[in-house]
Amino acid sequence: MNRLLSSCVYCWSWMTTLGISLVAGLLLFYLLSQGLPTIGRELFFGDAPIWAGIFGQVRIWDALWPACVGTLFLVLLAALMAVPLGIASGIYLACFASKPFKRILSLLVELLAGTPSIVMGLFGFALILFLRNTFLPDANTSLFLAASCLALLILPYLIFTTQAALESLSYEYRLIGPSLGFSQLQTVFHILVPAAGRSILGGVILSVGRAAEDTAVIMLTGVIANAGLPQGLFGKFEALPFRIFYLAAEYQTPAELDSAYGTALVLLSLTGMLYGGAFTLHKTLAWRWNQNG
Amino acid sequence: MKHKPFCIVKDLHISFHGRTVLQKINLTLNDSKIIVLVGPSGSGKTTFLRSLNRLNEYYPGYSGRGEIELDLSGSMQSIHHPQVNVTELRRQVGMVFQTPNVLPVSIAKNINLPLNLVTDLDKVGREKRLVEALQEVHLWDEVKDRLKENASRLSGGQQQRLCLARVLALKPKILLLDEPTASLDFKASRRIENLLIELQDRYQIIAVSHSLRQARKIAGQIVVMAEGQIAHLLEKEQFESPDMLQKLLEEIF
Repeated sequence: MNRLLSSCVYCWSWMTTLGISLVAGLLLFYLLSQGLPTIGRELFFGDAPIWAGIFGQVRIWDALWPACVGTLFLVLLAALMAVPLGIASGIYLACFASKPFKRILSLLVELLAGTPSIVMGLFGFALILFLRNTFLPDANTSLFLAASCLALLILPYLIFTTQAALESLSYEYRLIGPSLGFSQLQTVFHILVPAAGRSILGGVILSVGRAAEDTAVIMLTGVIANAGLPQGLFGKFEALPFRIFYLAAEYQTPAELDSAYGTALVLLSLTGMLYGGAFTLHKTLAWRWNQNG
Repeated sequence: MKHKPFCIVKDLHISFHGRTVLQKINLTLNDSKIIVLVGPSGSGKTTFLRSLNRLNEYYPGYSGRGEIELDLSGSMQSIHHPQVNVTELRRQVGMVFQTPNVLPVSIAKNINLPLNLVTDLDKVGREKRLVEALQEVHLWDEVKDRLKENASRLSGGQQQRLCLARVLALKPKILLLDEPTASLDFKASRRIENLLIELQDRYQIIAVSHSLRQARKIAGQIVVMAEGQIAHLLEKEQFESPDMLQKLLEEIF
């Protein structure tokens, strides 16, 4: 009986793993088959000359390049705001906060994590309305606002993963520092955080991916279909996920739908590149932790 | 030879989450050869050891009362006094744990990191200490060509000796060892035991042991613990023959 049960569980695990890989593979294959043929100069730059287009000397219409730059800026800006804040909060919650205070803070973070992204966008939009009616009549939705709202959206992921990574270190490991006469600060930054680095980085990667693909937040806070390259922090911008949404919802020719597939493929590659960058960064940091005495 | 006390424990009680682990501990330890704590598991040996460098305070639900005085600077001083610098106390009362807990960094950095953070030695001084400490635990010849290698690649016994070297590099007065050979094979255990006997003249060692054979071999004094209390204090003459110790312990439990 027991053997039958275990072989059933074994079979089931195999089938689910196979099923998930199959579905992911099929999706990727479909995306590649639809999107790959459209990848080319025209998808990125339309009719504009390449170099002039890249540097924004010529306005690009109906092509991807401005959206690529927009998404890249958006993600970098959001990560710049959220990553230091999130990791610091996670460290505080795991290593310094007193018990009752920690309970309240964790509840608040959970609340933030449970906020749907459209609500986060609405919040940003409402903020602009408020500013317009009070002391900034010229305030408008912008790259900065969208990035701030995205930062809020990904903050809980960062806090949770950092906190969990630190708290999952064994008691024995946490005691190394104190037993050698380290202060709490030294223990945290020289022993615990480096050891939790891989998992913390996992959280950063997850949240960056989340920031790159979210459409609901930016729709209400500054993205538009044809903005060209982002014109600074307080200008409008284009973004890849919004472009996919827009093309797929309102395409007029089959070619436009195909270019939506191409865009999706580009977004996927861009996220992949961000992951790659984060991974390299981690490798370098781990190497430095190991080497420098 | 007259010994003077280096550790006086007065009416020590320790509990975690309201569950009493140590009670009514009154004990005076004289500086002598190695002191070994023995007793069944759950008798509070490790907790007692950790109370000497106040490491219990890191465990959830800790509460304790009583008084511990240690001789760290020529005179007996309470370690619970508000003016006591706890991190300095823990440097002077070094501790090695049951399972080797090297940091997943290079062998050299395992010793250099604490030296860098806790002492104010310069680079030359740190390097000198590193070599001294590794020689003291007879690890130097084995690792001198691979100091940059990751410490987790060493064997269990080597890792435990590295942990010992890491503590010795900080020049402690008292060494606490919590079953230091529990996770090692026979040969590696022997090595550590011989090493401790070598070190006993330079450091006051207090060790927890799970093996009577080991206790008899290394101890100058055996403290028998049972149910959170000190059951017996045995001097060398009392456990010199194996039968005598066995008989004594059977009487106690």
